[in-house]
Amino acid sequence: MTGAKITVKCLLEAGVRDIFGYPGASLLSLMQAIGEEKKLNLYINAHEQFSAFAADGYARASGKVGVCIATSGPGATNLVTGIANAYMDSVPLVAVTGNVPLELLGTDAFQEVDIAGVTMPITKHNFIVKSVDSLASTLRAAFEIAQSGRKGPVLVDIPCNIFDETAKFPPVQNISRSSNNNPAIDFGPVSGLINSSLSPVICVGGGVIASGASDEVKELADKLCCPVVSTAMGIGAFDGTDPRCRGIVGMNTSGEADKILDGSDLLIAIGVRFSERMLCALRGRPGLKAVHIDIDPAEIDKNLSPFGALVGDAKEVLSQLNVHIDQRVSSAARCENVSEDPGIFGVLNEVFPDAIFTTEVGLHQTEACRKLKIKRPRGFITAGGLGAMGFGLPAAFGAAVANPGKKVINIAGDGSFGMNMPELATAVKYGVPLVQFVMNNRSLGMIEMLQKNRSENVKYCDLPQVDYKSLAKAFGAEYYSASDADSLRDSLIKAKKSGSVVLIENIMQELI
Amino acid sequence: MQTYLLSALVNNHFGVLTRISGLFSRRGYNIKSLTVGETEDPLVSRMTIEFFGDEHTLGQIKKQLSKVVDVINVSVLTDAVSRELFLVKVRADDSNRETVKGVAEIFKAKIVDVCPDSLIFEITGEENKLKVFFDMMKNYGVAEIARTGVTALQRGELTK
Ligand SMILES: Cc1ncc(C[n+]2csc(CCOP(=O)(O)OP(=O)(O)O)c2C)c(N)n1
Ligand SMILES: [Mg+2]
Repeated sequence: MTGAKITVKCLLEAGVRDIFGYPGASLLSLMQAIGEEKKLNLYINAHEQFSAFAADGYARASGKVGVCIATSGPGATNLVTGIANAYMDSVPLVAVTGNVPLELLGTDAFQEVDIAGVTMPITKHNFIVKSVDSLASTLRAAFEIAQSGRKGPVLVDIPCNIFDETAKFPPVQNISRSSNNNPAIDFGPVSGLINSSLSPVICVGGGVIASGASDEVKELADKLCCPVVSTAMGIGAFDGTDPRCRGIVGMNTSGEADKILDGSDLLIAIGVRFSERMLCALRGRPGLKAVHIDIDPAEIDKNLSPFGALVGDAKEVLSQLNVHIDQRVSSAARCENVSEDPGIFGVLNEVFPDAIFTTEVGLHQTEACRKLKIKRPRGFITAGGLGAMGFGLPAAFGAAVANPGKKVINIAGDGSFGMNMPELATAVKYGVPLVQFVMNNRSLGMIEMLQKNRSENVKYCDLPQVDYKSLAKAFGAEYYSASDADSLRDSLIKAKKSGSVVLIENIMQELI
Repeated sequence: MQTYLLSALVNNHFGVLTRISGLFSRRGYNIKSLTVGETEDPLVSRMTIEFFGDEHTLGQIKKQLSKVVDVINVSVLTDAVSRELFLVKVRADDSNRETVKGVAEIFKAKIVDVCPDSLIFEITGEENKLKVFFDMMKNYGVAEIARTGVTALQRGELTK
């Protein structure tokens, strides 16, 4: 069997159905083999960065491993931002790159880049396949690493001659990986801290979603009768329409979450990594102790020394921890819901109560994090760690591919849309009916705001004036505009009914 | 702050050293020395890492290292035999060769090369002894030095 066929068999074996990528000379044999396999769909994005972002969005929306492929040299380097994005947010991704033939490796051949070297700091692990005999075992290991423990991206670089060489397709070996039979965890210290706390608050992060621990978090909140806040990555881990859900903490915190923290003595942080943006939540609150539950032992005590910690998969840990937690009688709400006016986001929630939302990066993103109410895990997808503009539209594409029939809406700024515009044509080409919702403030709004906050002159934030109506037409998408709540509702309802790609331009009077 | 020795068993692949030294530089861990060599199992190498710093960073290094896929096991050595090897080229001609040799003998340093105006000594031992030797030799004029970095093994039970 050829290396190309072996690759295809390994993809199928790993349960892969959808792949995102971009052609190139080093992928010719692989593309033929993928094309001959009816069960595999290869989506060609407009740029390899979008292939990686789309695979990322696909993974976040489905919980499966996202797969992207790119050719050697520029194809591979174009993946880099997408891989870094997945690394920062612990998204399971397998990136396969073709490279120059083995005998040319290291000779600075045409389109040769040491992509394994380039991506070393932004992958969980990466491989260069040096023989067709190790191809299958390498690809199997890549999938295993991407989705085990703290998930993350893995890159497999394959010199193109290996796709044409032949080897036997080896059966799966039951490698009994040094069975992580965790020594029995002592729940005593942490459950003691929780049971003796007067006013605890739960903070959910991306780890809760990755582990599928929403039910267990809810059970804990039910027992403690306590409010729940979240990080940007944790949005949707706890039902956003539940009155106990009190918004996001950290740099772009909601006023409500801040009030909750003011009145709390214990923060039960689950699947969060205490980034510097989140640590702001603890600064200036010496009375607020933290306990930390995370799957990655290296996160415990990295940025914050907690009073108690449990290492393990959130779902497994919580299902055991909850047994040790005393049921409390519900007391009056700790503080009134002081929700801000949800504005545009209220209308979005009203028309699309059940959609998947993705975002770009900027003011529209921070506002969406604060104001959208997300009911379910995997219903909100945003570039939390890397903050890469350009992520949202390809991520929406990936999420829509993973969830046929479900509406996916990308909340975009006009600046961010400028970074990935051609991806709208990709969605039209494949008939993926996503909604591109552009909040057009004619500015790199977040940067403009930062300049104003520092009393600087606003510079370099103005954007080219795009005629979005003509643009939508040129790309084959429907176009609706909105300038107030009523026209917004009308446009959204039209988008909801439409089976095509829709571009909605929301004309903003203010930056946000 | 103190000096710690970590011993890591790693897969004997190309790229593993880059991966680990990259991790140290990326996270700003200040490593004094790092040595690698194949073990009794040709598929496995041992890395000995000498680190000067605080206990918190030590804990982080250990945890971050343990996450690297090619790392099999990491341990902090508490009671170890540690050795380093120096090659020291000392200026020595007919006028002082005997004196230099005499000093070197006290340290049990071996002469491994002789030239009309220099000698190369090979000396192994614990870092402190080597430093004293090196300081002594500076009096005669050290032309060049090459150090291996520290390698070490925990006494007694296996570090597997
Ligand atoms: C790839 C990339 N380049 C630059 C930035 C820095 N940056 C953060 S927000 C922002 C402005 C975003 O503008 P827009 O998409 O219009 O959103 P708005 O803030 O106006 O809502 C910029 C330039 C970034 N996050 N990502
Ligand atoms: Mg804008």
